[in-house]
Amino acid sequence: MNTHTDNKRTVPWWLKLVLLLMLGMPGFSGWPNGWIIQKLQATDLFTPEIAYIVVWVAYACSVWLVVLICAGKQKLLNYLGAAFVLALTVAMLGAILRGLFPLLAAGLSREATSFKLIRIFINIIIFLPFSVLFINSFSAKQLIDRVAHFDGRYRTVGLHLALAFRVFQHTGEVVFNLFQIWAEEYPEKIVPRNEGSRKFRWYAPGNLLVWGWGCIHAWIFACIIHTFEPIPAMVAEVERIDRANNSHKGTKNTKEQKGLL
Amino acid sequence: MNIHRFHSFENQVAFFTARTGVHLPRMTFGKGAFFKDLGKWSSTYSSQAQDVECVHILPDPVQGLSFPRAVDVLSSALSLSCGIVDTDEIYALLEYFGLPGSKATQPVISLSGGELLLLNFAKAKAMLTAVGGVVACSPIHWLNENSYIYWEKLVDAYHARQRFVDVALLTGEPFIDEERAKPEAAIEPVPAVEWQLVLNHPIVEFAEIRFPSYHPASRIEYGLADDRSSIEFQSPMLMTGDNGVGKSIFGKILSGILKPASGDMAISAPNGTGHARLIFQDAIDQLFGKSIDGHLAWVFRFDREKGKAAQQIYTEIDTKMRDYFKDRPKEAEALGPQAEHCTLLQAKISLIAERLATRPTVLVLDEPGWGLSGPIARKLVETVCRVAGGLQVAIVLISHHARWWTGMVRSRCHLEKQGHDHVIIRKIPEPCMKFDDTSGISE
Repeated sequence: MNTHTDNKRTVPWWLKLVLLLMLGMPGFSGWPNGWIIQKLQATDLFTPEIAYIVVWVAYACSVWLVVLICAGKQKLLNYLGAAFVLALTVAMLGAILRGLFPLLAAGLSREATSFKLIRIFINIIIFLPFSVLFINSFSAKQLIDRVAHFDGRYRTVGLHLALAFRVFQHTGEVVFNLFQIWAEEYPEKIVPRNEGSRKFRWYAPGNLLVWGWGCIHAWIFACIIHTFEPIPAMVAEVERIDRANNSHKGTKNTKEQKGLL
Repeated sequence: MNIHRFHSFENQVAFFTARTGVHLPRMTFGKGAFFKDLGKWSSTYSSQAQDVECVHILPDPVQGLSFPRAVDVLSSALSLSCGIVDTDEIYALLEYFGLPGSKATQPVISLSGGELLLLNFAKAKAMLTAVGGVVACSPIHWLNENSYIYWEKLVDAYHARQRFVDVALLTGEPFIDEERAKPEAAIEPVPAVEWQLVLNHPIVEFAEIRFPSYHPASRIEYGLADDRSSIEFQSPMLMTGDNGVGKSIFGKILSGILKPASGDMAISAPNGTGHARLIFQDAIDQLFGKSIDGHLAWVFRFDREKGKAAQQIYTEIDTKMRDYFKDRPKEAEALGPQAEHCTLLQAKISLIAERLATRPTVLVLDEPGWGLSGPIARKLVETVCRVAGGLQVAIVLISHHARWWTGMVRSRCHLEKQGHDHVIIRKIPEPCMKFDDTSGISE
């Protein structure tokens, strides 16, 4: 029988944190990608745009490889599916809005605006899978247990952060559930089930915009509402763990003193 | 054991909140009311401190489980009473409540309703020494009768330690103290709809999970008894089976949410051959965070004809139910105000009306009685079966409470596990009632 102990990854949490921070370094600081881009440009073989795309796409592949090794093929495909849908939505909406409201481009040329959108696209397809990998790499339960053993003000701050971390993790579970609900309502996923009579063209530009915006709006609020829904129960649970750990230590620590919320 | 019975889900939730201090935001009023409730909870939170620590089993049992896997839930619960948790204790607890060890690492969100309740029981048992009691809402609603024993074991353990057990039930809800009463009134036979299920050994595969922790791959292969490839049913059809056997998963295959990795499934019904529509166990989530009216308006944004049809179906079901309960104001509370759609029952009627307006081949109602009192659930399903019959939509009820639907269903099938990953669907005769459309029901 596979037991909990057998199944647990044996990599210590701090090593995982260091490795993940190293993997995410280009996102946090731009290094070493910026340096490599400069070197490529210096060869005169690449324009700045092409050098940027080559380096960041190579970096994207290395991030995806790490996700593949850690999470497996199925999860990688799920993350990439979500990332590409989000990236395409953002890039297309950005292009439409910049076309409709040129002021948004803030004086940038058309080429510079297009390249900016490509950068946003690349960032999303890299950092969405990376963020999900990062958040799910740590056990919220262990984090809460560990923080509950702290003393003083770090304990309250730590519990707030641990709870926020668990809520972030819960978002992934919520999306899984919402996707099933969406698939039942809209089997074609991006096409409305009830398209109206044959004379009515739901895909006319105005209707398409209404549909697209409605879908984005629905998903954003559904994700927020379903993520936040169990927060009262989660807070009660975290407080209970905190009180129990506190009583194990034999110290007095009431809810009012801690002010978890 | 203190048993409290309520006529509506809203009253049951209000009791739970008052008893535990855990505020559950309303989900049927839309985002405005939701955030208002959450704000109210956060601003009054410190004043809701409870004198006695207790375990909570919420109406939707998944909400009482704050961690992603059973091992996390149980090790957290066990650590309340002792600092260091022995892994074997976790597996022993799962086994004690009839859950296989493989459930330990399965994501909680993918457990069935019954398994979620059993995990809540295991958690409550683990916390026994650290709490003063348990407050449970509808603790056996999603359980098969064979599993009621696990609730009794939990109650016995709490009583042995002189801890309180508060149970919030809905009127007429099945419970261990239930008297096996006959249905309150004879039901006129509901219209029959003939339909056929063709099953070519569909296999659903659940990929192995390697992240954040390992859980092995699994699969379920569905087949018909006696190696048949098709089976005829008369709607309304009742689908039963043990907890975790795969009833809800089968409902999701019928409605096209889950695609078989191999094999296939087809429905042939008077309305054609497409997929079924499905009302989930926790139907409230299907509003997708919108209000009841907001959801209906959004779904039919481009199709006013169907939108009108859905409104008419809603009004028909609502009117019939209000007429039936007009002399029983307490029970009619669940129907909410006629002008404002805000209760769980109204949400269910709206979701059903929306689906019936699209004239599906089959409408699957997964545990349609959840969150409803017995008489309301029975009347709702009966009315829906009548309206659906008029639209030639076949109805499939997935439920553990066969007695609720006595005299209403025309055929029944039972799902049972054979071996590790085979599930056999067997048509079983309805023992009590025989239907004859000309003369009505005869015993």
